[in-house]
This record gives sequence, C-alpha cells and structure tokens, in this order.
Amino acid sequence: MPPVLAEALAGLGGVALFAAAGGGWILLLGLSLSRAGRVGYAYLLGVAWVAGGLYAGSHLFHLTLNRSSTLALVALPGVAGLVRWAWRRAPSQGGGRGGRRLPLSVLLAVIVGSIVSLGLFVEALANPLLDWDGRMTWASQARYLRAAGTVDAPVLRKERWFITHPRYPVLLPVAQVAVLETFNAQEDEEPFRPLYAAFFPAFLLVLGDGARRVAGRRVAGWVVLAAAVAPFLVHREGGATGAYSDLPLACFYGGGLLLLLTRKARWGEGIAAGLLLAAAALSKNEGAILAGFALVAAAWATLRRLPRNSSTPSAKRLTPAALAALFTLAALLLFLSWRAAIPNRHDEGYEKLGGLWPAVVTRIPRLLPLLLARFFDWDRWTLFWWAAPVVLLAGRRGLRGRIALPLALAWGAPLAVAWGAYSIHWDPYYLVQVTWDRMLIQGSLPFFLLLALALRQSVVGWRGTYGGQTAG
Amino acid sequence: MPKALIATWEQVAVGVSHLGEGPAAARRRTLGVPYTEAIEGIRRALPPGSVYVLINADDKDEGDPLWTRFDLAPHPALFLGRLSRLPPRVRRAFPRGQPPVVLTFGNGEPPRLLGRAEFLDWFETPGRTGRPPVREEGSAARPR
Repeated sequence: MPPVLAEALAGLGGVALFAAAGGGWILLLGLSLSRAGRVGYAYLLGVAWVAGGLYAGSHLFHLTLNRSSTLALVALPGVAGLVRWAWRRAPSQGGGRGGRRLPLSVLLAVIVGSIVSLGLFVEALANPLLDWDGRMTWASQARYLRAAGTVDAPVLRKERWFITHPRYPVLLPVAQVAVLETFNAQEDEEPFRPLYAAFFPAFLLVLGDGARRVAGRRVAGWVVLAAAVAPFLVHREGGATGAYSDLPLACFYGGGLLLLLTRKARWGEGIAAGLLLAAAALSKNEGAILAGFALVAAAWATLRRLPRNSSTPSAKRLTPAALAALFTLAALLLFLSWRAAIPNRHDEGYEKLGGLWPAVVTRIPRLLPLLLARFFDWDRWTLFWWAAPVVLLAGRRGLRGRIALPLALAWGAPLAVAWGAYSIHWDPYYLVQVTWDRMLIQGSLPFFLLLALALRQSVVGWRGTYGGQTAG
Repeated sequence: MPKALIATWEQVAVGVSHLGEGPAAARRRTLGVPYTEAIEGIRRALPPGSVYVLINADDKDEGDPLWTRFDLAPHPALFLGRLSRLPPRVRRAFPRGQPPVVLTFGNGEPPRLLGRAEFLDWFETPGRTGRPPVREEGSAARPR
C-alpha cells in the first residue's frame, strides 16, 4: 500500500472507529437529531465511550490498553445499536428534510466548514505534532500510558520522574493510545493527530444541530459560518490544529449541555449527555466543574419551562439531568481514585482556595485590561469579539427565552473558573496570556447558541423553542 | 478573505506536497536535521526501558527539556533543573546505576547525551568551562 494511503487510513480510521462506536450509541438510545447532529454527536460519544471505557477498565479492572480492548469497546455499542436499529426498522428521526433547498447561509457554512476541516486533516496527516501543551503534556502522557499498557503507569505514580501536570485527567491521551494501538503505530508515527482535528467538524455539526433547533436553519448556517472562520478555534493554542484538550472539552461540555436542553429530553438524552459530561470531567481538571455547571444550567432551564399548572412532576422532567449527573459523578469518582496514587509535582497548586479573597477583587484593575486585550486580538479572533456584542445587543429580545440565561451561565462558567485560577496563581499575568483564549473556547458552544438566539430575533424575527419544530 | 481561510489555504498548499512522507523525513523538515538526528542517536543509545537524567543547560530556555522528554518517552526522565543551579554535590541527586545525562541547550542547538561519569567528571572539575565537553563524533555518544 502506498505510504500516503496507509497514513491516511490509520489517521482517518481512528476517527471512523470512534464515530462507529458513537453511532451505535445514538441508535441504541434513539436520539432525535438532525443528520449533521448525528455525525457530530456520534464522534463525541464514540471518543467519550471508548476512551472513558478504557480509562475505567484499566484503572478498575486492569484492562490492558491495546487493540483488543479498543475494538471490543467499539463493537459493543456498534453491534447493539445495529441490532436495535434493525429491530425497530430504522425509524426516521429528524433528518427527513433532504428534499428542501438549503438556505444560502447553510450552503456557505457547509462549504467553508468543509474547507477549513480539510485543511486541518491535511495538516494533521502531513506534519508531526509541534504545539506546546500537546507535546509537553497530552502526547507525552499517551506515550507513557501506551508503554505501560495501563492508565496507572509507574512513571506517573513515582514522584522522582519528570512529568508535567501528572495529575491531569488522561481521557484524551487514552484516546490517543487507542488509535496508536489499533493501527500498530511505530515510533514517531502520529495517527492520533486527526483525532484532534475531527473535533472541529464535530463542533460545527453539534453547533449546527443546536442552533437549528433554537433559531432555524438559516440562522444556524450563519452561526456555524462564524465559528468556522474564527481563527482561534482552529489555528491557535487550544484549537483543533494541535493536541490541546480545550476544544475536545468544549465539545463534551457544550454537547452534553445542548442534549439536556432539548425540549423533549428523555432518558436517552440523559445517558448521552451523561457520557459527554463524564468525558468532560475526564478531559481536564476544570472539566468536572464545568460538567457541574452544565447540570445546574440544564436543571434551571428545565424548571423554568414548567408552567405553574403543569401536570408533569418536576422530578420526572429532571430525570435526564439526574441520569447525566450519575454518569458525571461516576467519572469524578474514577478520576479521584486514579489521581489518589499520583503525587503532585511539576504542576500549579490550585487547591489554595483560601487565597481567593481578596485577590478575586483586588486583581481586577490589573487583569481586566489584559483580558480585554485578548478579546480584541486581531490575530486570534479577528472581528469576532467586536461583532458578537453588537449582535447580542441588537437581538437582546431574543435572549428572554427559557434557555438564554442557562446558556449565559454555561458560557460564563469557564471564565469564572479562569478568574478563580488567576486570583490564586503566583503569576496571573502570565497565566492570562496562555489560558484566557482557551477558556473562551471551552465555553464557546453555549456562546454561539446565545448568538443564534439573538440573531434569530434581530435578523429573522423568528420565535421558536429549543427542541421544537425547526424553521428556516 | 477571512484569516481562517488564508491559514487553511497555507495548510493545504504546504501539506499536500508532504502527504505520504515518512515520519523521519517530516521531523527533519519541521524540527531540523540536527535536532532530529540527535534525538535518533540518543534513542539508539538508550537501552529499552532505561532511564536518564535530564538537565537544562540554557538559563533562558523553557521548552527544550519538554520537547526532548517527549521525543525520548517512554524512557522515564529524572529532571535536575538548570545546569547553572545544580548544587556542587549533584552526584548525590543521581539515581542508582549508571543513568546517562541528556543536556538541552535551546536556541536550536540539539540535545546532547553524556555518560554519567563523563558529565560528573566535567561538572566536578575545579575551574571547569561553562560548556560540557563535545565529542567530535557527534552529539549522540553512547554513555560510558
């Protein structure tokens, strides 16, 4: 086989494996999603399930991180989903609109999103990993885990060895190991790079599905187009070009939240959201906090929509969020159990919460100008943060619905986490430079949904409900 | 034209011509020949499963110890920090056995492998020079 084909097969094969596992989950749970949404969520659920399953299996049951374990985890939901699909005779759900003409905005979003995604995949297949955190933390950890065959690698557990951020959760490194092992990658072969690139189209697809529900296809197209051309989501630290965990976390966190905000969320959405929020908790340290915010935001939105004389008890409406909370709690316990045996070294100490006061206030005058400068950095965001407030202001009446405030809370959550970290860090000015944009990425799905709500009001004047009929 | 599309065009234009290139060639192209060959030499010199001592010989550089450690993973590294700040009796900080020393330099200079004794002899020499010894046969010498 020509080397170019073998390389592409391994790189894209890893993406396909995850998508197959997640596709099985979608069929199994009977999720009601658009075609685009199905593809996006399939990838996210697949990474969450396979890497999460390997993480838990390795730590709790000494499952070896290898090809057999990976393929078994892929096959389990894949086969179960197909059986259910055959049994239920493939019900058509939400995607039967193929005959309708695509609005210009959707057409543009598809074209631009595809071009940018293509560039990401070409870059991932042509070049070795060159970014900072990807090599310093995530891909390094993957190499140690792969060599040890377990998430409890001795090199993590012995204090003498030099590991940066040894207590960071390792869901993404485990996903890397799954790809490396499945395709028997040799030294310096990096077929895991497309795994990260694929989070970008997944982000756009999940965003498109969510925005279509709240604002119709036309507005969804514009919002996805805006996301596709925001440089920071793609080309800067934390974006899809490298191997940072911020864009994956944004997808898990935002995707889980959007599933729970679906108007007719059932236990299926609850389980899928639970898988995604569990993955968020296992992706980065702040992931568990964000997952908690997502659950609170979802519960808030659910209770806000209950009419006073509703015959449905609140407890029943909250079942999906409660299911998701169970998954998140299980992931958090897994993480704490795994981390307990790992001594901290070469890492920041964020546990000193006592230092929050009064720094959380007194640092505002010096940090605020730095933060504002990041928002309006042309190289990183171009006009995005100039235009977004204008859109929100113009469409402010569209932000009165039941999900707007929960979405705003979800957007603000990573920024609040960051502010907390800046308040206790010994060098907050440096930390702002290297993390603020990444926190904006982490909360970007709820933010783009807010933009969709505002845009719907200001441009289209359409009034809809999340999870209801689509328009556009 | 949006910046993301310009960057994408550059990615595709540069990337397509390198699709199918082997990992070694891609690393030489992007990381430089001296660095890549130094890493390959150190890898050959380190027996499977062996450990090494990592020292940063550049007071201003932050990245090279990280990139070198990544490229030498899964060999565990014992990081002693900056060369200029090592205590005079650094010998005591070395693990048991004869772990070799990998020095990183920053500024595009490739990492260098020294035997434990070779490094300590140089380090403990009164009035030593500021730079560790360089072997003529290359930067990836087999540790003594």
